[in-house]
Amino acid sequence: MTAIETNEGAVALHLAGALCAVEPIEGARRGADDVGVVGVDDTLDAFAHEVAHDLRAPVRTARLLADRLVADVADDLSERGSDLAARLDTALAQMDHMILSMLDYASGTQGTTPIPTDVGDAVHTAASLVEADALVAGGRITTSGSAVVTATPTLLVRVIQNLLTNALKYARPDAAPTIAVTTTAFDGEAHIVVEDNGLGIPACDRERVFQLLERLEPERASGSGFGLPICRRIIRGFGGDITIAASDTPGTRVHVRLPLALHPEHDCLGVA
Amino acid sequence: MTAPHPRPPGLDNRPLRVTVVDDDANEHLLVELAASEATVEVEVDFFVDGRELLAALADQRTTPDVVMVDLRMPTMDGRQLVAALSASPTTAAIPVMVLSSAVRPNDYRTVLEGGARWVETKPGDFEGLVSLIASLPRRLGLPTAQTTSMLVGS
Repeated sequence: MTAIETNEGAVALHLAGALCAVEPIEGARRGADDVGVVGVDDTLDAFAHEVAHDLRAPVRTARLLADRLVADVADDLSERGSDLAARLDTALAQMDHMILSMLDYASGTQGTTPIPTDVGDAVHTAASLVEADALVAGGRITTSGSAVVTATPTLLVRVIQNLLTNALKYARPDAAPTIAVTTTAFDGEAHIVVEDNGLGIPACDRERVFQLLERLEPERASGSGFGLPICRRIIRGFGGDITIAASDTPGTRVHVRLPLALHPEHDCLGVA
Repeated sequence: MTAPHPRPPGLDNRPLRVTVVDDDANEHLLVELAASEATVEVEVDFFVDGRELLAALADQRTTPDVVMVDLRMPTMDGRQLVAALSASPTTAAIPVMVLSSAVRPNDYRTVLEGGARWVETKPGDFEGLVSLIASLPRRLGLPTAQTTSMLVGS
C-alpha cells in the first residue's frame, strides 16, 4: 500500500476514492465512439477542478512565500536551517505536483481533439523527450514499427513518455536499462509494447499499479501515484486499453492497445 | 469615452507596464517580488477586482501594455473581465493573459475564444513566476529591454 501519512495525503486519498467511485459508470458505457463524451466525465472533471483549484492556490502560495522567506534569510541560515528549508520546499512541491496530477487525471482526454496519429512518430518524440534521462542512466531505447490510430498526439506522446520514464526509474541496480518499444497492427488494433529489463512487476500487482495513488515502492519518492492511472484513463478515452502483460524475461512488459484509425487519408487499414 | 490604448511600437526606454488583477493579496506581493527579480524593467499596477480595473482603465489611472488576470475571482471572474475588455473598443486591443491555479483543458478554448491572448497555469515555483514576467516583452513582440533596473510601482 502507499505509505501516505500526512494529512494532505489523506485528503488526496479520500478524493481519489471519490474519483474511483465514478469509474465503473464510465466503464460501463465506454465504447469506440466514446471519445469526447460528456456527462459523468464532466461532473468528475468539474468536481476535481474545484478541489484542485482550492487546494493548489494556498499550497502554491505557501511554496512561493517560503522560497522568498528562505531567500531573505539565506545568509543567516545554519546548515540545519538550509536542510529544513530544502525539505519544506520538496514537501510543498510534491503536494503541488500531486494536486496538478489529480487535475490531469480527472481531465483525461477532455478538451482535446483526437486525430489520425502515427504511433511511430509519437514513440519517436517520447523517446527523444527522455533521451537525457536515458543517457544519465546509461540506458538504451530501441523503437520499431508503426501504426495510425485516432488519438490526441500530445497525449499519446505523454503516455509513452511516462512508460519510458517508468522503465528508466525502475531499472535493476546491476543492469543498464534496455527498453524496446515495438508497434504492430493486427485485428484492427495497434499494439504498442514497451518492454524493459528492469525490476519487473509481480503478477499479483499488475492491475494494482493502475489504481490511483498506488506505488509499489513508495520509498522511491519521485512518483505521485498518478502516472499509470492517467495513462490508462487517456488510452481508454481513445477506446483502447493498457495493461501489464506477462513476460518470459525479468522486467516489465506494458501492452497498449488502440483501435486503428480508419481514415481515407491513410491506406492499408491504418498501417503506416 | 477615452481614446483606444495606444499600442507601443517599442518600450522607448520606459518600463513595461503590467496590470495584475487578482483577488488574492499574496499574489500581488509575489508578482511584485518576482517583477523586482525579472531581467526586464517592469512597472506593476494591482487591482483586486475586474470592475476596479475597468473603472481605472476608463479614467486612465492604469495604462497597461499587458493585463494579467486571475481566472477565478468573486463578483467578476477572469472570463467575464476578458469579455468586458474585448467588448469595448477602448480596451479590446490590450493583450490579456489569464492565469489560474488550475486550468481545465476546456478553459483554454473558452478563455482564448473570449479574447484572451494567453492562458497559463500559475507557476508552481518562484523562479517560474520570474520567468513568466521576463517572458512578457517577447510575448508582446517588444524588443527585450536591455536594462535590468527595477521599478515596481503599485
